[in-house]
Amino acid sequence: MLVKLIKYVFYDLLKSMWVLATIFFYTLVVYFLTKFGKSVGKITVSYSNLSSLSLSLFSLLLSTTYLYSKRNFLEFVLAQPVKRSVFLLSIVLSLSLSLSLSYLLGSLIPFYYFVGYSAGFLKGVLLNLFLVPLFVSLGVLSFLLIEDKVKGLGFSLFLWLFFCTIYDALLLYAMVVLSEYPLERLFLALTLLNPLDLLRLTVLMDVGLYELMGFVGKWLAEYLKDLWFLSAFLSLFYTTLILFINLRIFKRRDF
Amino acid sequence: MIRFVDVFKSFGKKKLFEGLNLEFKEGVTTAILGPNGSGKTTLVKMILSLVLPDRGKVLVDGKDVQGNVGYKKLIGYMPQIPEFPDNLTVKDIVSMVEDIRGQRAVRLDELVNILNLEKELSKRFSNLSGGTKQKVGALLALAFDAPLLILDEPTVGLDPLSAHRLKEFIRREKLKKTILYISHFMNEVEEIADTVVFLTEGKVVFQGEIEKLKAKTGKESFEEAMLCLLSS
Repeated sequence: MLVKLIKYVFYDLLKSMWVLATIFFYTLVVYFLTKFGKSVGKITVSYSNLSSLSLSLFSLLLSTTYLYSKRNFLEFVLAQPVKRSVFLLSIVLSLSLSLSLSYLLGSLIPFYYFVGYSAGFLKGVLLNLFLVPLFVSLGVLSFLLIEDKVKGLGFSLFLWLFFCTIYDALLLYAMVVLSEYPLERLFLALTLLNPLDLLRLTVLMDVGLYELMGFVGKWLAEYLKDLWFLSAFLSLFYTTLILFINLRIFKRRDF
Repeated sequence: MIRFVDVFKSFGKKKLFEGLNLEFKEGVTTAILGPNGSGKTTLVKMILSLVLPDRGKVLVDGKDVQGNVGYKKLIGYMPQIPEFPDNLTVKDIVSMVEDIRGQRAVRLDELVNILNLEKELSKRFSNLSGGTKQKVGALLALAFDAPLLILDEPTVGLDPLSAHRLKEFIRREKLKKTILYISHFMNEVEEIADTVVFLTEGKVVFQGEIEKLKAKTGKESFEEAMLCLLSS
């Protein structure tokens, strides 16, 4: 049943403007970065930073708008012999798959065309893919918690801003206020808890630019060597956790 | 066939059903009527377990609907506003519902003909007019030959010919099915329903045959009887 539902929702999404727009957007970004970028390492870092911000935003917006605009469709499917958990999973997987596919196509094909094969770039792109199901699940959470479409979209944008800037700003503020205490490692650990920050650090480490991060880079290079596993694990852990919360809410929600 | 046993339901602070007990008998066509916000849609959504009761049970064919999805194969549901994936064609949507239900749409050809949908089958859902979307909703509710039909304002938005044909079809089907019918058109209700359930603020104020309602209110027409119930 899960596969059947994914097939139809995925097929619908593939034909939507979202997929084409995402492919076009990333193709354009790759084109400009490769045109003006100086080295593959720097292009990879810049592209990964841009991707992490934009892909998380697209994932949130796509999932939130899709669910609010398809409320009557959800109602219809739930009136059929389908388990709620199976239907929710199929929606999350279809949204994640369609967005991931368009990101992969929009990134890898133009990069290969303009530059050629690069293992670092490929790793950066693959790592960013972990953000898709995580932020799709956050979009679903917004839909489940908030009835009103405008407020739901607003909440989604707030979540995105929180992970992009507010979280770091709060940490920075706390670091300044508590600068007299030896809390560097605690703050570093807190930084790693933010999936977007962790992803940026992972890519920087991967292309060997960790010196740019000063103390943080030195500490990470010394203790963690490779952040790939941690980054993937934490993203998957957060995704599973949010999905679990979503399922609990979805099972009891009135439509 | 359907029983509400001591059902309680609130939305926030607003209490809608407080110990609702109601039964819909097999083979009877019942119109669910009442003013806006009286609980008509919530009532049918509870049968489909789209809305879950705070307390009490809703039984379909003797089985509690909560945590059970198998019974939905017995139901053909036509929502008030049909909505499907925009980029799927009508054919794709029928296949999708067949796959979901694990049943063939055995009366598809007959209904496509009745609703005049031949030319629309290969069109994307987003390219259909409002009335045609409504027809697709009717097609999916009726094509599986389910023994229980739940139809929420089925003729709204349909052209007169399609509305007439759909009502004719429902009239033929009512002989062998249990039908719950929500409509604001009194003449339509009188044409189709055997009995009516009248709800006001979540309470059943009348349940029975249309003739009994007329006798109870002392009115000659069904519309006047309804207005009498509404004003009281």
